[in-house]
Amino acid sequence: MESLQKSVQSVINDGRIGSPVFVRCLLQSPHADEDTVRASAALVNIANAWMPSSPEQIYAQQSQDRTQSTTMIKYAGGQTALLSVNRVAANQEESIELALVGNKGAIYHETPRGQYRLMRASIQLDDKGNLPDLIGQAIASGEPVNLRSEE
Amino acid sequence: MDSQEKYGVLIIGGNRSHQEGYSRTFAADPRCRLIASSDERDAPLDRVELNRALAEELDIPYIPDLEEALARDDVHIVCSCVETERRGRVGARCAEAGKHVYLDKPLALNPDDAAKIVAAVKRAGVRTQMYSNIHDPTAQAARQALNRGDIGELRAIHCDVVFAKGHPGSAPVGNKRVEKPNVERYTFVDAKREMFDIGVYAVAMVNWLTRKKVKTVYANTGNYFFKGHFDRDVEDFGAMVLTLEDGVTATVAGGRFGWLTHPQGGMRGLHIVGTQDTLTFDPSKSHLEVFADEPVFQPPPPHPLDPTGMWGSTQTKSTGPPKRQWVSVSDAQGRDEIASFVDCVENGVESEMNAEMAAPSISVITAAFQSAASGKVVQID
Repeated sequence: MESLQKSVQSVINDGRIGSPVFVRCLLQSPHADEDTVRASAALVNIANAWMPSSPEQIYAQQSQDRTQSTTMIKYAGGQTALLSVNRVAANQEESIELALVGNKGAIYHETPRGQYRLMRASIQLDDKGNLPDLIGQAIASGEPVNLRSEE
Repeated sequence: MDSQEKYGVLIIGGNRSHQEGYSRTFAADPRCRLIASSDERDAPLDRVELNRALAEELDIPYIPDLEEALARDDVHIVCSCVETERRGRVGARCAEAGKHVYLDKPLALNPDDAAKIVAAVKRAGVRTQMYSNIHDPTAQAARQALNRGDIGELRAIHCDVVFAKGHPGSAPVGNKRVEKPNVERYTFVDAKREMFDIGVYAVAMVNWLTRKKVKTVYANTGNYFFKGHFDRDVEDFGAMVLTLEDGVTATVAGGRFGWLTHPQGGMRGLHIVGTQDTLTFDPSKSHLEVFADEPVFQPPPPHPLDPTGMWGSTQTKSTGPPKRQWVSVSDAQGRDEIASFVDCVENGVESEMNAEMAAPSISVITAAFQSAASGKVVQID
Protein backbone atom coordinates (compact mmCIF):
# COMPACT_ATOMS: atom_id res chain seq x y z
CA MET A 1 0.00 0.00 0.00
CA GLU A 2 2.91 2.30 0.73
CA SER A 3 4.05 2.04 -2.88
CA LEU A 4 0.56 2.98 -4.06
CA GLN A 5 0.53 5.98 -1.75
CA LYS A 6 3.87 7.13 -3.07
CA SER A 7 2.93 6.64 -6.72
CA VAL A 8 -0.30 8.58 -6.29
CA GLN A 9 1.54 11.30 -4.41
CA SER A 10 4.07 11.61 -7.23
CA VAL A 11 1.28 12.17 -9.78
CA ILE A 12 -0.30 14.78 -7.51
CA ASN A 13 3.06 16.47 -6.99
CA ASP A 14 3.61 16.60 -10.76
CA GLY A 15 0.36 18.56 -11.04
CA ARG A 16 -1.04 16.18 -13.64
CA ILE A 17 -4.56 16.00 -12.15
CA GLY A 18 -4.64 19.50 -10.73
CA SER A 19 -5.81 19.87 -7.15
CA PRO A 20 -7.40 16.72 -5.61
CA VAL A 21 -11.10 17.20 -4.88
CA PHE A 22 -12.59 13.74 -4.39
CA VAL A 23 -11.31 10.34 -3.41
CA ARG A 24 -13.34 7.16 -3.60
CA CYS A 25 -11.68 4.10 -2.12
CA LEU A 26 -12.99 0.59 -1.49
CA LEU A 27 -10.81 -1.86 0.40
CA GLN A 28 -11.81 -5.52 0.26
CA SER A 29 -10.32 -7.37 3.21
CA PRO A 30 -10.45 -11.14 3.71
CA HIS A 31 -9.23 -10.90 7.30
CA ALA A 32 -12.24 -11.88 9.39
CA ASP A 33 -10.64 -10.69 12.57
CA GLU A 34 -9.61 -7.33 11.18
CA ASP A 35 -11.23 -4.34 12.76
CA THR A 36 -12.88 -2.49 9.88
CA VAL A 37 -12.79 0.71 11.92
CA ARG A 38 -9.02 0.58 12.23
CA ALA A 39 -8.76 -0.19 8.53
CA SER A 40 -11.04 2.78 7.83
CA ALA A 41 -8.80 4.95 9.96
CA ALA A 42 -5.82 3.87 7.88
CA LEU A 43 -7.69 4.81 4.69
CA VAL A 44 -8.60 8.18 6.19
CA ASN A 45 -4.93 8.81 6.94
CA ILE A 46 -4.03 8.04 3.34
CA ALA A 47 -6.80 10.26 1.95
CA ASN A 48 -5.82 13.08 4.31
CA ALA A 49 -2.27 12.96 3.00
CA TRP A 50 -3.45 13.39 -0.59
CA MET A 51 -5.97 16.16 0.02
CA PRO A 52 -4.80 19.78 -0.09
CA SER A 53 -6.69 20.90 3.03
CA SER A 54 -7.32 19.53 6.48
CA PRO A 55 -10.26 17.29 7.40
CA GLU A 56 -13.15 19.18 8.88
CA GLN A 57 -15.93 16.68 9.50
CA ILE A 58 -16.08 12.89 9.67
CA TYR A 59 -19.16 10.71 9.34
CA ALA A 60 -19.13 6.94 9.53
CA GLN A 61 -21.36 3.89 9.43
CA GLN A 62 -20.62 0.29 10.26
CA SER A 63 -22.87 -2.73 9.87
CA GLN A 64 -23.74 -4.38 13.17
CA ASP A 65 -21.86 -7.53 12.22
CA ARG A 66 -18.88 -5.39 11.17
CA THR A 67 -18.99 -6.73 7.63
CA GLN A 68 -18.42 -3.24 6.31
CA SER A 69 -17.68 0.28 7.43
CA THR A 70 -17.98 3.43 5.39
CA THR A 71 -16.52 6.83 6.20
CA MET A 72 -17.07 10.19 4.58
CA ILE A 73 -14.71 13.08 5.20
CA LYS A 74 -15.38 16.71 4.40
CA TYR A 75 -12.30 18.88 4.11
CA ALA A 76 -11.82 22.54 4.92
CA GLY A 77 -11.38 23.37 1.24
CA GLY A 78 -14.64 21.65 0.31
CA GLN A 79 -13.08 18.37 -0.88
CA THR A 80 -14.71 15.01 -0.15
CA ALA A 81 -13.50 11.47 0.60
CA LEU A 82 -15.71 8.40 0.51
CA LEU A 83 -13.91 5.39 1.99
CA SER A 84 -15.26 1.89 2.51
CA VAL A 85 -13.82 -1.25 4.04
CA ASN A 86 -15.63 -4.44 3.13
CA ARG A 87 -14.88 -7.85 4.57
CA VAL A 88 -14.77 -10.51 1.85
CA ALA A 89 -14.51 -14.30 1.99
CA ALA A 90 -11.32 -15.66 3.60
CA ASN A 91 -10.21 -17.31 0.37
CA GLN A 92 -10.16 -14.02 -1.52
CA GLU A 93 -7.24 -11.67 -1.90
CA GLU A 94 -7.04 -8.32 -0.21
CA SER A 95 -7.58 -5.66 -2.83
CA ILE A 96 -8.18 -1.98 -3.20
CA GLU A 97 -10.06 0.07 -5.76
CA LEU A 98 -9.26 3.73 -5.92
CA ALA A 99 -10.40 6.78 -7.83
CA LEU A 100 -8.71 10.06 -6.96
CA VAL A 101 -10.24 12.93 -8.87
CA GLY A 102 -8.50 16.25 -9.28
CA ASN A 103 -9.95 19.44 -10.71
CA LYS A 104 -8.17 18.70 -14.01
CA GLY A 105 -7.85 14.93 -14.13
CA ALA A 106 -8.20 11.62 -12.33
CA ILE A 107 -6.16 8.67 -11.10
CA TYR A 108 -7.60 5.15 -11.07
CA HIS A 109 -6.12 2.07 -9.48
CA GLU A 110 -7.27 -1.46 -8.92
CA THR A 111 -5.16 -4.13 -7.26
CA PRO A 112 -3.98 -6.53 -9.94
CA ARG A 113 -5.12 -10.12 -9.51
CA GLY A 114 -2.77 -13.08 -9.40
CA GLN A 115 0.18 -14.32 -7.41
CA TYR A 116 2.85 -11.93 -8.59
CA ARG A 117 2.46 -8.35 -7.57
CA LEU A 118 4.85 -5.48 -7.44
CA MET A 119 2.99 -3.99 -4.50
CA ARG A 120 1.59 -5.27 -1.25
CA ALA A 121 -2.10 -4.47 -1.12
CA SER A 122 -2.38 -5.02 2.61
CA ILE A 123 -3.09 -1.89 4.51
CA GLN A 124 -0.92 -0.95 7.44
CA LEU A 125 -3.15 -0.49 10.44
CA ASP A 126 -2.12 2.57 12.31
CA ASP A 127 -2.51 2.36 16.06
CA LYS A 128 -1.31 5.91 16.57
CA GLY A 129 -3.60 8.89 16.65
CA ASN A 130 -7.24 9.15 17.58
CA LEU A 131 -8.87 8.43 14.22
CA PRO A 132 -10.26 5.00 15.20
CA ASP A 133 -11.83 6.61 18.28
CA LEU A 134 -13.32 9.44 16.19
CA ILE A 135 -14.72 7.01 13.64
CA GLY A 136 -16.12 4.90 16.47
CA GLN A 137 -17.68 8.02 17.94
CA ALA A 138 -19.30 8.89 14.59
CA ILE A 139 -20.64 5.35 14.22
CA ALA A 140 -22.03 5.28 17.74
CA SER A 141 -23.66 8.70 17.54
CA GLY A 142 -24.97 8.45 13.97
CA GLU A 143 -23.86 12.05 13.57
CA PRO A 144 -20.85 13.69 11.91
CA VAL A 145 -17.98 14.57 14.20
CA ASN A 146 -16.38 17.98 13.74
CA LEU A 147 -12.64 17.57 13.61
CA ARG A 148 -11.41 21.12 13.66
CA SER A 149 -12.94 21.72 17.06
CA GLU A 150 -10.84 18.80 18.31
CA GLU A 151 -7.63 20.57 17.34
CA MET B 1 -51.37 4.53 -38.76
CA ASP B 2 -49.65 1.31 -39.88
CA SER B 3 -51.22 -1.86 -38.47
CA GLN B 4 -48.11 -2.43 -36.34
CA GLU B 5 -48.17 1.13 -35.03
CA LYS B 6 -50.45 0.77 -32.05
CA TYR B 7 -49.35 3.82 -30.13
CA GLY B 8 -49.37 7.45 -31.09
CA VAL B 9 -46.67 9.41 -29.27
CA LEU B 10 -46.82 13.08 -28.37
CA ILE B 11 -43.49 14.65 -27.48
CA ILE B 12 -43.06 17.61 -25.15
CA GLY B 13 -39.69 19.29 -25.34
CA GLY B 14 -37.25 19.71 -28.17
CA ASN B 15 -33.63 20.36 -28.98
CA ARG B 16 -31.23 20.84 -26.08
CA SER B 17 -33.27 18.37 -24.05
CA HIS B 18 -33.19 14.57 -23.86
CA GLN B 19 -36.10 14.63 -26.29
CA GLU B 20 -33.45 14.74 -29.01
CA GLY B 21 -32.78 11.07 -28.27
CA TYR B 22 -36.03 9.82 -26.76
CA SER B 23 -38.19 10.97 -29.67
CA ARG B 24 -36.02 9.19 -32.22
CA THR B 25 -36.02 6.00 -30.12
CA PHE B 26 -39.83 6.07 -29.95
CA ALA B 27 -39.93 6.70 -33.70
CA ALA B 28 -37.69 3.67 -34.29
CA ASP B 29 -40.01 1.36 -32.32
CA PRO B 30 -42.29 -0.34 -34.85
CA ARG B 31 -45.15 -0.17 -32.37
CA CYS B 32 -45.05 3.61 -32.18
CA ARG B 33 -45.58 6.62 -34.40
CA LEU B 34 -44.77 10.21 -33.53
CA ILE B 35 -47.96 12.26 -33.76
CA ALA B 36 -46.92 15.77 -32.81
CA SER B 37 -44.84 17.98 -30.56
CA SER B 38 -46.37 20.32 -28.05
CA ASP B 39 -45.85 22.27 -24.83
CA GLU B 40 -47.74 24.48 -22.42
CA ARG B 41 -49.20 27.56 -24.08
CA ASP B 42 -47.10 29.83 -21.85
CA ALA B 43 -43.86 27.86 -22.20
CA PRO B 44 -40.74 30.06 -22.42
CA LEU B 45 -40.30 31.42 -25.95
CA ASP B 46 -36.75 30.13 -26.34
CA ARG B 47 -37.97 26.70 -25.32
CA VAL B 48 -40.80 26.83 -27.87
CA GLU B 49 -38.28 27.68 -30.58
CA LEU B 50 -36.20 24.63 -29.63
CA ASN B 51 -39.36 22.49 -29.58
CA ARG B 52 -40.31 23.69 -33.05
CA ALA B 53 -36.80 23.02 -34.35
CA LEU B 54 -36.91 19.37 -33.28
CA ALA B 55 -40.48 18.96 -34.56
CA GLU B 56 -39.27 20.18 -37.93
CA GLU B 57 -36.34 17.75 -37.91
CA LEU B 58 -38.74 14.92 -37.07
CA ASP B 59 -41.26 16.11 -39.66
CA ILE B 60 -44.15 16.29 -37.19
CA PRO B 61 -46.49 19.21 -36.46
CA TYR B 62 -46.05 21.51 -33.48
CA ILE B 63 -49.23 22.13 -31.47
CA PRO B 64 -48.78 25.28 -29.37
CA ASP B 65 -51.44 24.33 -26.82
CA LEU B 66 -50.72 21.23 -24.75
CA GLU B 67 -54.40 20.88 -23.82
CA GLU B 68 -55.34 20.66 -27.49
CA ALA B 69 -52.63 18.04 -28.07
CA LEU B 70 -53.69 16.00 -25.04
CA ALA B 71 -57.29 16.00 -26.26
CA ARG B 72 -56.37 14.05 -29.37
CA ASP B 73 -57.57 10.45 -29.45
CA ASP B 74 -54.60 9.32 -31.52
CA VAL B 75 -52.19 10.22 -28.71
CA HIS B 76 -51.67 7.29 -26.36
CA ILE B 77 -48.20 8.00 -24.96
CA VAL B 78 -46.64 11.30 -23.98
CA CYS B 79 -42.87 11.60 -23.77
CA SER B 80 -42.21 14.59 -21.51
CA CYS B 81 -38.89 16.44 -21.39
CA VAL B 82 -39.94 19.85 -20.10
CA GLU B 83 -37.56 21.76 -17.84
CA THR B 84 -37.30 20.17 -14.40
CA GLU B 85 -39.06 23.17 -12.85
CA ARG B 86 -42.26 22.33 -14.84
CA ARG B 87 -42.18 18.55 -14.57
CA GLY B 88 -44.59 18.13 -11.67
CA ARG B 89 -47.35 20.15 -13.30
CA VAL B 90 -46.92 18.83 -16.84
CA GLY B 91 -46.41 15.20 -15.82
CA ALA B 92 -49.52 15.25 -13.66
CA ARG B 93 -51.55 16.92 -16.41
CA CYS B 94 -50.56 14.31 -19.00
CA ALA B 95 -51.59 11.50 -16.65
CA GLU B 96 -54.86 13.26 -15.84
CA ALA B 97 -55.56 13.36 -19.57
CA GLY B 98 -55.39 9.56 -19.55
CA LYS B 99 -52.09 9.27 -21.41
CA HIS B 100 -49.25 6.91 -20.55
CA VAL B 101 -46.24 9.06 -19.71
CA TYR B 102 -42.55 8.53 -20.31
CA LEU B 103 -40.79 10.95 -18.00
CA ASP B 104 -37.32 12.39 -18.31
CA LYS B 105 -35.08 12.16 -15.26
CA PRO B 106 -35.13 13.51 -12.66
CA LEU B 107 -38.83 12.97 -12.14
CA ALA B 108 -39.46 16.41 -10.64
CA LEU B 109 -37.87 19.41 -8.96
CA ASN B 110 -38.95 18.50 -5.44
CA PRO B 111 -40.90 15.88 -3.47
CA ASP B 112 -44.17 17.86 -3.70
CA ASP B 113 -44.02 17.93 -7.49
CA ALA B 114 -43.13 14.24 -7.56
CA ALA B 115 -46.11 13.50 -5.32
CA LYS B 116 -48.40 15.40 -7.72
CA ILE B 117 -47.33 13.11 -10.55
CA VAL B 118 -47.69 9.96 -8.46
CA ALA B 119 -51.18 10.96 -7.28
CA ALA B 120 -52.38 11.84 -10.79
CA VAL B 121 -51.01 8.57 -12.18
CA LYS B 122 -52.78 6.58 -9.49
CA ARG B 123 -56.08 8.31 -10.19
CA ALA B 124 -55.76 7.83 -13.96
CA GLY B 125 -54.40 4.28 -13.88
CA VAL B 126 -51.89 4.98 -16.64
CA ARG B 127 -48.36 3.59 -17.07
CA THR B 128 -45.30 5.71 -16.40
CA GLN B 129 -41.56 5.30 -16.53
CA MET B 130 -38.71 7.62 -15.59
CA TYR B 131 -35.53 7.31 -17.63
CA SER B 132 -32.90 5.37 -15.65
CA ASN B 133 -30.07 2.86 -15.99
CA ILE B 134 -31.96 -0.12 -14.61
CA HIS B 135 -32.22 -1.82 -17.99
CA ASP B 136 -28.45 -1.80 -18.49
CA PRO B 137 -26.87 -5.28 -18.46
CA THR B 138 -24.81 -4.52 -15.36
CA ALA B 139 -27.88 -3.40 -13.42
CA GLN B 140 -29.76 -6.50 -14.47
CA ALA B 141 -26.80 -8.69 -13.46
CA ALA B 142 -26.64 -7.02 -10.04
CA ARG B 143 -30.34 -7.54 -9.56
CA GLN B 144 -30.06 -11.21 -10.42
CA ALA B 145 -27.13 -11.64 -8.03
CA LEU B 146 -29.14 -10.07 -5.21
CA ASN B 147 -32.19 -12.17 -6.02
CA ARG B 148 -30.10 -15.37 -6.04
CA GLY B 149 -28.54 -14.46 -2.70
CA ASP B 150 -25.03 -14.54 -4.16
CA ILE B 151 -23.69 -12.18 -1.50
CA GLY B 152 -25.69 -13.41 1.47
CA GLU B 153 -27.49 -10.61 3.24
CA LEU B 154 -26.94 -7.14 1.83
CA ARG B 155 -24.88 -4.88 4.07
CA ALA B 156 -23.83 -2.05 1.75
CA ILE B 157 -24.17 -0.79 -1.78
CA HIS B 158 -21.89 1.74 -3.45
CA CYS B 159 -22.92 3.35 -6.72
CA ASP B 160 -21.16 6.02 -8.77
CA VAL B 161 -22.33 7.76 -11.91
CA VAL B 162 -20.00 10.53 -13.04
CA PHE B 163 -19.93 11.78 -16.62
CA ALA B 164 -16.63 12.49 -18.33
CA LYS B 165 -17.84 15.55 -20.22
CA GLY B 166 -17.05 19.22 -20.17
CA HIS B 167 -13.84 21.20 -19.85
CA PRO B 168 -12.65 21.09 -16.22
CA GLY B 169 -10.15 23.22 -14.37
CA SER B 170 -11.99 26.52 -14.78
CA ALA B 171 -13.66 26.70 -11.36
CA PRO B 172 -11.70 28.43 -8.58
CA VAL B 173 -9.48 25.95 -6.70
CA GLY B 174 -10.13 25.25 -3.03
CA ASN B 175 -13.30 27.28 -2.97
CA LYS B 176 -15.59 25.57 -0.49
CA ARG B 177 -19.13 25.41 -1.78
CA VAL B 178 -21.84 26.85 0.46
CA GLU B 179 -24.88 24.78 -0.41
CA LYS B 180 -28.46 25.97 -0.17
CA PRO B 181 -31.07 23.77 1.47
CA ASN B 182 -33.67 24.26 -1.26
CA VAL B 183 -33.40 23.77 -4.99
CA GLU B 184 -35.18 26.75 -6.46
CA ARG B 185 -33.72 26.70 -9.94
CA TYR B 186 -32.29 23.81 -11.86
CA THR B 187 -32.18 24.76 -15.53
CA PHE B 188 -29.53 27.06 -17.01
CA VAL B 189 -28.18 27.25 -20.52
CA ASP B 190 -24.60 26.54 -19.51
CA ALA B 191 -24.97 24.49 -16.30
CA LYS B 192 -27.31 22.35 -14.27
CA ARG B 193 -27.42 20.78 -10.87
CA GLU B 194 -25.19 17.78 -11.45
CA MET B 195 -25.64 15.88 -8.17
CA PHE B 196 -29.34 16.08 -8.94
CA ASP B 197 -29.22 15.49 -12.67
CA ILE B 198 -26.65 12.70 -12.73
CA GLY B 199 -26.77 11.55 -9.11
CA VAL B 200 -30.42 10.61 -9.67
CA TYR B 201 -29.23 7.66 -11.78
CA ALA B 202 -27.31 6.27 -8.82
CA VAL B 203 -29.97 7.01 -6.21
CA ALA B 204 -32.69 5.46 -8.36
CA MET B 205 -30.43 2.42 -8.90
CA VAL B 206 -29.96 2.00 -5.14
CA ASN B 207 -33.72 2.28 -4.57
CA TRP B 208 -34.53 -0.17 -7.35
CA LEU B 209 -31.89 -2.75 -6.41
CA THR B 210 -32.55 -2.76 -2.69
CA ARG B 211 -36.27 -1.92 -2.51
CA LYS B 212 -35.45 -0.43 0.87
CA LYS B 213 -36.50 2.99 2.07
CA VAL B 214 -33.80 5.55 2.72
CA LYS B 215 -33.92 6.69 6.33
CA THR B 216 -31.02 9.15 6.62
CA VAL B 217 -28.82 11.18 4.27
CA TYR B 218 -25.42 12.80 4.82
CA ALA B 219 -23.96 14.62 1.83
CA ASN B 220 -21.43 17.05 0.45
CA THR B 221 -21.51 19.03 -2.77
CA GLY B 222 -18.77 20.83 -4.64
CA ASN B 223 -17.97 23.30 -7.38
CA TYR B 224 -14.85 21.42 -8.30
CA PHE B 225 -14.53 21.66 -12.07
CA PHE B 226 -16.53 24.16 -14.09
CA LYS B 227 -16.67 27.94 -13.99
CA GLY B 228 -20.18 27.90 -15.47
CA HIS B 229 -21.46 25.95 -12.48
CA PHE B 230 -19.55 28.19 -10.10
CA ASP B 231 -21.00 31.33 -11.71
CA ARG B 232 -24.52 29.89 -11.55
CA ASP B 233 -23.97 28.74 -7.97
CA VAL B 234 -24.90 25.13 -8.72
CA GLU B 235 -22.87 22.05 -7.83
CA ASP B 236 -20.95 20.04 -10.41
CA PHE B 237 -20.44 17.11 -8.06
CA GLY B 238 -21.95 15.55 -4.97
CA ALA B 239 -21.47 12.56 -2.72
CA MET B 240 -23.79 11.04 -0.15
CA VAL B 241 -23.95 8.36 2.52
CA LEU B 242 -27.41 6.90 3.06
CA THR B 243 -28.83 4.67 5.75
CA LEU B 244 -31.44 2.31 4.39
CA GLU B 245 -33.99 0.23 6.20
CA ASP B 246 -32.40 -2.62 8.16
CA GLY B 247 -29.26 -0.54 8.65
CA VAL B 248 -27.89 -1.09 5.15
CA THR B 249 -25.35 1.54 4.10
CA ALA B 250 -25.45 3.07 0.65
CA THR B 251 -23.05 5.56 -0.88
CA VAL B 252 -23.48 7.55 -4.05
CA ALA B 253 -21.26 9.84 -6.08
CA GLY B 254 -22.77 11.79 -8.93
CA GLY B 255 -21.62 14.61 -11.14
CA ARG B 256 -19.58 15.64 -14.13
CA PHE B 257 -15.82 15.88 -14.16
CA GLY B 258 -14.45 16.55 -17.63
CA TRP B 259 -13.80 14.95 -21.02
CA LEU B 260 -10.31 13.67 -20.33
CA THR B 261 -10.84 12.31 -16.83
CA HIS B 262 -11.91 8.84 -17.95
CA PRO B 263 -11.04 6.66 -20.94
CA GLN B 264 -14.72 6.03 -21.63
CA GLY B 265 -17.89 7.87 -20.61
CA GLY B 266 -17.08 8.20 -16.91
CA MET B 267 -17.25 6.36 -13.59
CA ARG B 268 -20.05 3.80 -13.46
CA GLY B 269 -19.08 1.59 -10.53
CA LEU B 270 -21.59 -0.48 -8.60
CA HIS B 271 -20.52 -2.60 -5.64
CA ILE B 272 -22.79 -4.73 -3.51
CA VAL B 273 -21.44 -5.90 -0.18
CA GLY B 274 -22.97 -8.82 1.67
CA THR B 275 -22.35 -11.17 4.53
CA GLN B 276 -20.85 -13.76 2.19
CA ASP B 277 -19.32 -11.86 -0.69
CA THR B 278 -18.72 -8.52 -2.36
CA LEU B 279 -19.47 -8.14 -6.05
CA THR B 280 -18.56 -5.38 -8.49
CA PHE B 281 -20.63 -4.51 -11.53
CA ASP B 282 -18.95 -1.98 -13.75
CA PRO B 283 -19.37 -1.93 -17.52
CA SER B 284 -16.01 -0.16 -17.84
CA LYS B 285 -14.09 -3.06 -16.35
CA SER B 286 -14.59 -5.42 -19.26
CA HIS B 287 -12.60 -3.86 -22.08
CA LEU B 288 -9.74 -4.11 -24.50
CA GLU B 289 -7.02 -1.52 -24.13
CA VAL B 290 -5.73 -0.45 -27.51
CA PHE B 291 -2.46 1.43 -27.88
CA ALA B 292 -1.55 2.38 -31.41
CA ASP B 293 0.26 4.95 -33.47
CA GLU B 294 -2.90 6.89 -34.24
CA PRO B 295 -4.45 10.22 -33.32
CA VAL B 296 -5.94 10.34 -29.84
CA PHE B 297 -9.23 11.80 -28.65
CA GLN B 298 -9.38 15.55 -28.41
CA PRO B 299 -12.28 17.15 -26.54
CA PRO B 300 -14.60 19.21 -28.72
CA PRO B 301 -14.30 22.96 -28.25
CA PRO B 302 -16.93 24.24 -25.81
CA HIS B 303 -20.17 25.35 -27.47
CA PRO B 304 -21.41 28.66 -26.00
CA LEU B 305 -24.89 27.21 -25.49
CA ASP B 306 -23.66 23.88 -24.18
CA PRO B 307 -20.14 24.14 -22.70
CA THR B 308 -20.34 20.88 -20.74
CA GLY B 309 -21.47 18.76 -23.66
CA MET B 310 -25.01 17.89 -22.62
CA TRP B 311 -26.81 17.71 -25.96
CA GLY B 312 -26.20 16.19 -29.36
CA SER B 313 -27.58 19.18 -31.27
CA THR B 314 -25.02 21.55 -29.74
CA GLN B 315 -21.99 19.30 -29.81
CA THR B 316 -19.28 20.96 -31.79
CA LYS B 317 -17.17 18.67 -33.92
CA SER B 318 -14.06 17.24 -32.23
CA THR B 319 -10.82 17.89 -34.03
CA GLY B 320 -9.78 14.29 -33.48
CA PRO B 321 -11.29 10.83 -33.34
CA PRO B 322 -13.69 9.77 -30.58
CA LYS B 323 -12.44 7.99 -27.46
CA ARG B 324 -11.42 4.54 -28.56
CA GLN B 325 -8.49 3.48 -26.40
CA TRP B 326 -10.84 1.26 -24.40
CA VAL B 327 -13.09 -1.02 -26.41
CA SER B 328 -15.97 -2.63 -24.52
CA VAL B 329 -16.13 -6.41 -24.30
CA SER B 330 -19.54 -7.76 -23.34
CA ASP B 331 -21.83 -10.66 -24.06
CA ALA B 332 -24.53 -9.15 -21.89
CA GLN B 333 -27.75 -8.05 -23.50
CA GLY B 334 -29.62 -5.15 -22.00
CA ARG B 335 -33.19 -4.18 -22.76
CA ASP B 336 -33.78 -0.94 -24.56
CA GLU B 337 -35.09 1.55 -22.02
CA ILE B 338 -37.90 2.97 -24.14
CA ALA B 339 -38.88 -0.38 -25.69
CA SER B 340 -39.30 -1.73 -22.17
CA PHE B 341 -41.75 1.10 -21.43
CA VAL B 342 -43.74 0.34 -24.58
CA ASP B 343 -43.75 -3.31 -23.44
CA CYS B 344 -45.33 -2.20 -20.15
CA VAL B 345 -48.01 -0.23 -21.98
CA GLU B 346 -48.63 -3.10 -24.38
CA ASN B 347 -48.84 -5.73 -21.65
CA GLY B 348 -50.66 -3.61 -19.11
CA VAL B 349 -47.98 -4.00 -16.45
CA GLU B 350 -46.17 -1.49 -14.27
CA SER B 351 -42.67 -0.35 -15.16
CA GLU B 352 -40.07 -1.16 -12.53
CA MET B 353 -39.10 2.53 -12.61
CA ASN B 354 -42.58 4.02 -12.64
CA ALA B 355 -43.34 7.36 -11.04
CA GLU B 356 -43.96 5.74 -7.67
CA MET B 357 -40.57 4.00 -7.70
CA ALA B 358 -38.83 7.13 -9.01
CA ALA B 359 -40.36 9.60 -6.53
CA PRO B 360 -38.25 8.59 -3.47
CA SER B 361 -35.07 9.47 -5.35
CA ILE B 362 -36.25 13.10 -5.40
CA SER B 363 -36.78 13.02 -1.64
CA VAL B 364 -33.30 11.57 -1.13
CA ILE B 365 -31.58 14.18 -3.29
CA THR B 366 -33.57 16.99 -1.70
CA ALA B 367 -32.43 15.72 1.70
CA ALA B 368 -28.87 15.54 0.36
CA PHE B 369 -28.93 19.25 -0.46
CA GLN B 370 -30.29 19.97 3.02
CA SER B 371 -27.52 17.89 4.56
CA ALA B 372 -24.82 19.54 2.45
CA ALA B 373 -26.17 22.95 3.50
CA SER B 374 -26.39 22.17 7.22
CA GLY B 375 -23.50 19.73 7.70
CA LYS B 376 -25.93 17.45 9.50
CA VAL B 377 -27.56 14.09 8.95
CA VAL B 378 -31.07 14.57 7.53
CA GLN B 379 -33.85 12.12 8.37
CA ILE B 380 -36.40 11.14 5.73
CA ASP B 381 -39.88 10.30 6.97
